[in-house]
Amino acid sequence: MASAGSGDEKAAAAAMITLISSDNEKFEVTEATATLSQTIRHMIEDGCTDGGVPLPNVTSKILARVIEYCKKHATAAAGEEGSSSSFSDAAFLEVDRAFLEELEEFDDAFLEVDRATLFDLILAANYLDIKGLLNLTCQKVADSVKGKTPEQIREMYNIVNDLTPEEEAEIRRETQWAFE
Amino acid sequence: MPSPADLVNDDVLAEILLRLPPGSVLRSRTVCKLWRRVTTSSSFIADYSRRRPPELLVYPDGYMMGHRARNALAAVDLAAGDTTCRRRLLRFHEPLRLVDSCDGLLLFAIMQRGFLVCNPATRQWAALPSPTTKRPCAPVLPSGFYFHRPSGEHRLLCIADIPPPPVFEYDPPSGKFRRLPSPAAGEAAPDAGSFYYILSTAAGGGCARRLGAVAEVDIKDPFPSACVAIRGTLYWSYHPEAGDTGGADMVAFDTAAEAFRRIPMPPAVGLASHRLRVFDMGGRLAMSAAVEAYPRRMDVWALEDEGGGGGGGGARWACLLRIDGDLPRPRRRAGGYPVYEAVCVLEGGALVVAGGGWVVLYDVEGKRELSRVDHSRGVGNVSRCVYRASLAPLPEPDARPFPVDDVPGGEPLLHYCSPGGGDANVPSYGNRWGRDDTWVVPNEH
Repeated sequence: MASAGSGDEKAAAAAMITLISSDNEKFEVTEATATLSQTIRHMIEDGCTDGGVPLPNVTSKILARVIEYCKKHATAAAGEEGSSSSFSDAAFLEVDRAFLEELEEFDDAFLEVDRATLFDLILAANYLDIKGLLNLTCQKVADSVKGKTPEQIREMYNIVNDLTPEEEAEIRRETQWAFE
Repeated sequence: MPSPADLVNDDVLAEILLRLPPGSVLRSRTVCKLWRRVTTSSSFIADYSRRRPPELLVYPDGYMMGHRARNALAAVDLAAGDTTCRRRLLRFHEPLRLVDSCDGLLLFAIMQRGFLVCNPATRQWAALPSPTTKRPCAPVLPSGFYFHRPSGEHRLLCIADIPPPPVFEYDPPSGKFRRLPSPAAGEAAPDAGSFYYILSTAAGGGCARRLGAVAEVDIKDPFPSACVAIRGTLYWSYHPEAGDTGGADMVAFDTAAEAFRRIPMPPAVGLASHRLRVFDMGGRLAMSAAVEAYPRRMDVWALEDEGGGGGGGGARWACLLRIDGDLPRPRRRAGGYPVYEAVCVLEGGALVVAGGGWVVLYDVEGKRELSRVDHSRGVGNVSRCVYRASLAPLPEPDARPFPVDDVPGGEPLLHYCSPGGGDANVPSYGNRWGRDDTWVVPNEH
């Protein structure tokens, strides 16, 4: 796959895939963008993408955001491949760094969403098997939990504590230091 | 308000919680039943460990030995290749000595008598049972610390020297008992001599199980070399069970069958001429061989095929890498210096070589150096132990705090450092033999 020369790249870029959201909206994307999703990559390999790929678990609102992410990161992946041959070239490294910074800024801005959207994005990334997006969104939630007390976490995410006081006391006793 | 409990299935919740530091995961177990179930499942615990970076254990204040020695232990992220990435794990005091690490567990020896294992990520600890309860003065030598998959226990293969029981004679005139000189080991007392024992961390306090007597060979050095555990087999470059072959064989121990076997050494590699170190190369037995006279050279061998069993020939070794004079000049220290040894292989295939105060990463396939970091200034001494944080619970942890010995400040024998706390800035304990005087590398013999 990686050895596909630049001659095939144009052909690949021209190949379009239609994604269909749960509310029946159609999105045309390039194959390079769509294959950031391992789930869709497997569908393409199996040749079952004619007539569009239905994604019954993803709404149009979320799918639009997912595609936005994939488009940005697909160009990043293509850029990385192109520059790897001239690794020692300082000018290329400079370009790479600028591009990576831009990508980081994009990711930060991308995560500026409400909590419901963030969880929808996690579910979509999990279902579509998009590693980068899953990592990005899960890390965001993990960062919000890190360093918080169980009470704060429950309050933040509206979780009902269904542990009995005895159960809770036992867990605390086992790892007392973590609660100090 | 949306909640991860409503919107997110177990797998996705695990994806989120896998990204938390150990203390946060332990706290999250009291959020609700779902979170507890997810974070205590065996698959979560396995994934959690797999995702931690392998870290090299170092002594950030130098390594101190002897009476009242106090040492700090820190972990350096190997992949990050940056000395500033070290994080302090714990401090420990004489009579504790770090012996080895296995996954996320550290094995400490208490004098030459007993052992304890501790998990710095969960802060659980447990003492291993002693093979010499009847004769507590008998020295016990650790020889291989490993995970026994069939039982799910961490085990220690060790050698205990059991002295013959004292024999007394009644002397009627004086009305006293007189102690007779002990007979030679094995002669009169079948119970005495050198034996292999397996100590385990099993529930119920574990047990010390005797395997058999150590082979009697006429050799100078009865101590086995450092050991590596690969897929249920332990390997030593030097071990008494090799017999009198003059170093032509190394020794393996099948932890399921609990039997030793010999494997021929790589060609042209000898104990007398080389400093050898066995290590795990992606599931394959490998060995680094350096010559003391040429500290900047090293060969790396990997076992291709062990050949037909039973001490026979036919083992095929391949020399995967020869580093010839390209290793950084060792930072010499007064008390002698270690030559280079391979430690482990990272996920991407990079070989980690440590020695002379340096940690060097090599690309074995491309036969080129990837990075080198001088640890002799920022960090004290570099151990050969690799650590990977794990939340795996000990079957029977000891709930008691560590005993406080007569150490200044009343600190327990083993003291954990808080992550991100001020511990990193605690001045070293006036370590007289600090970083510039002495090199002492643990876990070599």
